[in-house]
Amino acid sequence: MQKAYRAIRFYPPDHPLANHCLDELAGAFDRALADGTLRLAVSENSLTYEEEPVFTTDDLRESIPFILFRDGIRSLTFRNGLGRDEAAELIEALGQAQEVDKADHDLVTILWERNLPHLEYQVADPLLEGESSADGLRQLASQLQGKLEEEKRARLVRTPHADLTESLELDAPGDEVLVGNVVPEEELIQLERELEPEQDILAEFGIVLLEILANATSDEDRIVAVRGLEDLASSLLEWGDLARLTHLLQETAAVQADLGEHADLVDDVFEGMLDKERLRASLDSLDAAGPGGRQELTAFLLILGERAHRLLIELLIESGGKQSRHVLLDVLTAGAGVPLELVLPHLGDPRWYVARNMVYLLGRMKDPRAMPHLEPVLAHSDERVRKEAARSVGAIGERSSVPVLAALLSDPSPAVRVVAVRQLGRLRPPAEVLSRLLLQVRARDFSTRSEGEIDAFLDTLGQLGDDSAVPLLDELWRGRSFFRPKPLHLRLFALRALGQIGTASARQSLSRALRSSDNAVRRQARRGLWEANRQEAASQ
Amino acid sequence: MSGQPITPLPRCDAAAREDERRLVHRLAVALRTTGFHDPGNTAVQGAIAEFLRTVRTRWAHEQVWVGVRNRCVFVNDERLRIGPSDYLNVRYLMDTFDRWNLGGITFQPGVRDAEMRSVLYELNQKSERGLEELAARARALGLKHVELTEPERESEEPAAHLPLRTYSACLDVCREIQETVREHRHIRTRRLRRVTQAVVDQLLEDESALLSMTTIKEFDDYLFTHSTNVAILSVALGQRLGFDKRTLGDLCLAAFLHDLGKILVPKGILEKPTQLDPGERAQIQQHPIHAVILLLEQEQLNQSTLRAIVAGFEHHINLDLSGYPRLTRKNSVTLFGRIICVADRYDAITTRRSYRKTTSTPHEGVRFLLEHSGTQFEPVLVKLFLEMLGVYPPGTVVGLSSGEVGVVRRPPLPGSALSRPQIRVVRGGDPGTILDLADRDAAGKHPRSVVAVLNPDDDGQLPALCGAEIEALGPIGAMIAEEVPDPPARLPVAR
Repeated sequence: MQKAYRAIRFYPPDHPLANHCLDELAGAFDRALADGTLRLAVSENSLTYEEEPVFTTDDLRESIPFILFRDGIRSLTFRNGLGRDEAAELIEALGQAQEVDKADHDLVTILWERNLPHLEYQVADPLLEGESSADGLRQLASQLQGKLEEEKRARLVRTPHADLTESLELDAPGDEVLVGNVVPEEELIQLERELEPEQDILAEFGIVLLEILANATSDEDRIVAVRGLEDLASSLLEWGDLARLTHLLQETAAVQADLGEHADLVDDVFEGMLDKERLRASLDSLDAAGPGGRQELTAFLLILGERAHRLLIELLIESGGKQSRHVLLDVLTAGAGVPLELVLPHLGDPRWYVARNMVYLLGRMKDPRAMPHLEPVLAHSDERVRKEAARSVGAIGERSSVPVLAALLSDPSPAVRVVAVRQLGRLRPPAEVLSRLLLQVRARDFSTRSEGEIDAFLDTLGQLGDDSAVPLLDELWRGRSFFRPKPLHLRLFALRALGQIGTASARQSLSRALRSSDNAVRRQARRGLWEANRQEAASQ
Repeated sequence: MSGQPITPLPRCDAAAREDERRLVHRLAVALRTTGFHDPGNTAVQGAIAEFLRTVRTRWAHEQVWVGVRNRCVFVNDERLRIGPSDYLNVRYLMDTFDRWNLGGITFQPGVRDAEMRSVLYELNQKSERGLEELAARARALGLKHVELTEPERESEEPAAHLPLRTYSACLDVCREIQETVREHRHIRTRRLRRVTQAVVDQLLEDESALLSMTTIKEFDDYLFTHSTNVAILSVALGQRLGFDKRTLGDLCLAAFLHDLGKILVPKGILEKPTQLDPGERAQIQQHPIHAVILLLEQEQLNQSTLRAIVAGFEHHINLDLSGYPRLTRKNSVTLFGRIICVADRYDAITTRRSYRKTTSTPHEGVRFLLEHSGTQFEPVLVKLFLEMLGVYPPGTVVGLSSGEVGVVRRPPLPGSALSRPQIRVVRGGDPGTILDLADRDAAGKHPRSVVAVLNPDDDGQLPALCGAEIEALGPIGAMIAEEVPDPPARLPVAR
């Protein structure tokens, strides 16, 4: 037993060693119980069979005798028929007893609940006895004796006498209805089915607390209900049961909304959720969770509302996981977003990802007051921060955004340039920006840049451009070069831009392209012309 | 309904248990240190000071008893769960108590350093004549705040195996719970669990014996017998629904505690002999909410207590959601709530109350349940209840076709007709005789049948116990009394 117990304590239940030890224990029980029963007396540090110690240990920490002894068990009797499963349950119960340290639970209750059919135990626990029992029984005996005397003289009055079986709607009512035939099995099954959802005792408990909170007539009762809700919510958070927790908080918020002057009392339930370590644990578990887990956590955090913002920003700063970051950013940017004063202090954080996340938040808040704080970040040493800053500046979309973005067209990082040019395309900046764009496209190295960057620049040029851009685009699609032919994608993007510009000179250039010997060029030219015609028709 | 793991909520009574553990640990350390050093030694002084600090912090205004029974250490009747690290010191304490045949020591508020030093010093002396000698020395020392108690003797027979003792333990525990809750102390849930386990074990072993106990009414406080009866009836119903032991234990606990909220309703209202005014009725209707509030204040939340809280709230809500408290969100009643509702209503209407002139007979009680089946009560449970107690439930006084009058002692056995219970003859024929109305004569006919239901003195029923069972109470009481002997006159004893 001791060996199996140790194996279960140190290895998972399905580990081969744990299984082997349980097999050995089951075999040992088989042999020992072949002739009947085995009774072991329990002392602090030993198990005794017929007054002979059969197991002794001085190490009490993981000792079976001590575990049994300290919860009041003074003997174990094993009966023939105790199989491997039952032996495993016993060992598991002993392990559970080590973990249980609550006021109302001990090994005796664990064994009682498990109800092992071939194990009996004697408990030295005088909880049922005492002076009051003796007094009570004396009084009970005396009163009942008195009743027995009285019954001889009692006045007996006839009362209504009914055949109660008539109402049962049975096939054969009356005297012949037998015990065992009253409730058809299907009715029991039906009841069981109907009540299946009630297994959710935590949800039922939550509803009871909300009923009390909603209907309480005193603040004392409201406070107790709120404390109950706090406990329940806190436990659900600890267990990671976010779906139930979110539902509970939604219902709590609904009750709170109807509480009028007492509504503030309920804030404690939500405040209690702002437990950094537990929230961190929920976030950390996201990587192992599926998309459902991410949705549940997002829904839960959203319910906490503004009160959670400061804490969530702290978690965002400390969080390393991609999933956590996404969830936190989703929550922090929902609704009206986060107040500037919570974000700005972290903009200068030396960690690039912290600065990047803060810049992201500022962009999503679309608050023009953030512009002066974003401008310095555009010179951040890390291109990932600059890129996010360009996106955020574009998202804020102020007049002051344009020169800032235009300056980024010559950023050393292609990624930053791409974002900047895309944002400019979106903002429809004034004409002077076009010349800076053309300057970039004319640059000697432009054709050697990545396809993505060329795409972004020429797409933006197509959106913002006019006749002044046509000669350059005409030159680009022709692909002539002193050094090497221009890449095909550049030529095609240039044709697309001409189609977007759609002026007469642009269409002329496209018409010339229809005569190209290159199939791809001719195809793109046709598309360009189609686009130009569509735009013209739309404008008319 | 079963199978959910026990899920503790964070706030529990761990702090109280830790105080008790610390108290025993420090007492044991002080005792051991005194055994190795002179009383004036600084180590002894330090150990005693630590112990007294614990007493004064936690038990400044109340006495605390530390005792040993059958090698278990108790603090104020709460058994201590000792850890391996405490064990060496605690064993020293247990050995010392054993050597002196000492049951325990009570420390009164105001216990002084000198008293502690004296008693610990004496405990470490050689024992020649056991407790008598130790008590004599204690008296000579004039100890005022330290009292010695005798050991309790163990019972030869496990109490839980006797229905009457189980019933009596139930009444005890009900009384204790009410006192505890009234004084804003924590319920000794481990004791409560032992009692609920005993009820379940007893019902599984011999259901009819314990069911017949539910005819014990008006003994002591109404709430004690009512809570006990509802617990027994509920568990018997749960058993028919196929609940496992653990669920039956939870159901028993919930039923025990269902009316806890009534202790916050003024007794004058609960026992008012005339009709209640609307304000008084509203106060009574608060008791399911009070039950929840009181249980929440217990701060020992786990699956069992959660079920008890929910059922306590629900037990006056009918199947059709009428009743009280008023509901705004709940749209169904749990199975525990439905079961306790049936058992509660049956026991309430068959028990004499000050505001009723006539109490319903148990037969009328079952008829009431049937009449309101499907509206107030779950129909399947009502049918099971009828099957469990029969057409004439225990306690019903019946007139027989033979001209005899009897009281139903046990419900009909499985396979017997619902209308053929076991009877104890009260009048006519041979009073005291036990008859089974399911018996047949040589011709295969039932010689006796119920022809009338009688109400004795408007009380509704008579106790179903027979004379022999009641007579057995005396010896059982005496046996328990013997286990807890009266203290010798001159020995300072506290319990």
